[in-house]
Amino acid sequence: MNADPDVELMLTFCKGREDAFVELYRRYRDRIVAFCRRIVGSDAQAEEAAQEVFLKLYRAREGYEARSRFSTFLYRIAANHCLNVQARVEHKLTQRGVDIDARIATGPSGSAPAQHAQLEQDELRSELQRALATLPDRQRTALVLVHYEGLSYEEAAQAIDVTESALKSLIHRARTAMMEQLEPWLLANEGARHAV
Amino acid sequence: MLCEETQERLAQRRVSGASDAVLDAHLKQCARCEQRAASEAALDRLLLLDSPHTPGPGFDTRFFARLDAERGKQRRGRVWGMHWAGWALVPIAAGVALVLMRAQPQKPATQDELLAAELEPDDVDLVLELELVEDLPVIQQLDELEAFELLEAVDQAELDKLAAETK
Repeated sequence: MNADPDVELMLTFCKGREDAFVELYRRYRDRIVAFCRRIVGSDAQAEEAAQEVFLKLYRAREGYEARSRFSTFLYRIAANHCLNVQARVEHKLTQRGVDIDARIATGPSGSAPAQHAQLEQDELRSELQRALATLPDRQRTALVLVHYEGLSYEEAAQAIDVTESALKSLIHRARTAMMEQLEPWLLANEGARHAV
Repeated sequence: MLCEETQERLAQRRVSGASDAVLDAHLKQCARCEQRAASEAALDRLLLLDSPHTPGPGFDTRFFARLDAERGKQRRGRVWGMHWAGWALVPIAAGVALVLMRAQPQKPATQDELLAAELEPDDVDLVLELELVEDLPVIQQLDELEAFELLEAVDQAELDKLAAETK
């Protein structure tokens, strides 16, 4: 574990060197912000969540033990925090009688997914983000950790506290759901690829 | 290779990037699995379209302001911890004081107690009559009390009674 330079930085921080914490912040800021954005779904909430993650990291120095790669440890904090944020948001919406599934499915524009053979990149990106948002939180988190953050199955499983086989199952279900949601665009994308 | 293995093998190849000749051979023979593989590959390309959100302006400034507040909170927590530790010492100190008070030497026994313990009533009268007051234990104790502070511990009323009885 000591071969991980970020673990060394964290251990240095634990001994009282605040500059080591600032260096860790600098290295992981963008990744954690991007991760939070993909989980909580709004820019403002994502930035707030990312800052909370780093504050939790700061508080964690008293009990920190280098039991895994540092990135796994940090993503574990981030995943737990974002999933808690989502749970609180959904609880509040449910209390107000908002149908969460319908709200997500129609997306910010309020319109149903368009059936077009070829779409502009921005619209396609928007559909992709909406499809990600429709996933259950844990499926989305698993998919984001492996596909976007580059964690291995083992690391991602540790981050969200499941077994590796449970993680593979989450990812499989997430991908299957995404393929169903994005089927028209998958075919269009494949057609465009063959045309090239 | 069985179709049921396709999903797992596709996932492994996606993660490792390593080639899988057995999988490739099966995909050439199985249209359903080949379609599944094509959809998975298309999804991977689509997923790349999602660009990461970057922190907006002022993100660092806001964060370091919160970090300063957190540091202040931790410092105050340490001070309060010492404050509460101090208050926790009060009952401990009270307990120690009680123990010390109980351990102090008891007030000298009264003449009556001493006499009752050592002499028969008739003997007391005889001692007093013979002016052998210095033999009385209480007198011996009083003689031993050299410090004024200790003399103050003597019950004045008992002294007066003793003086009256020895006359």
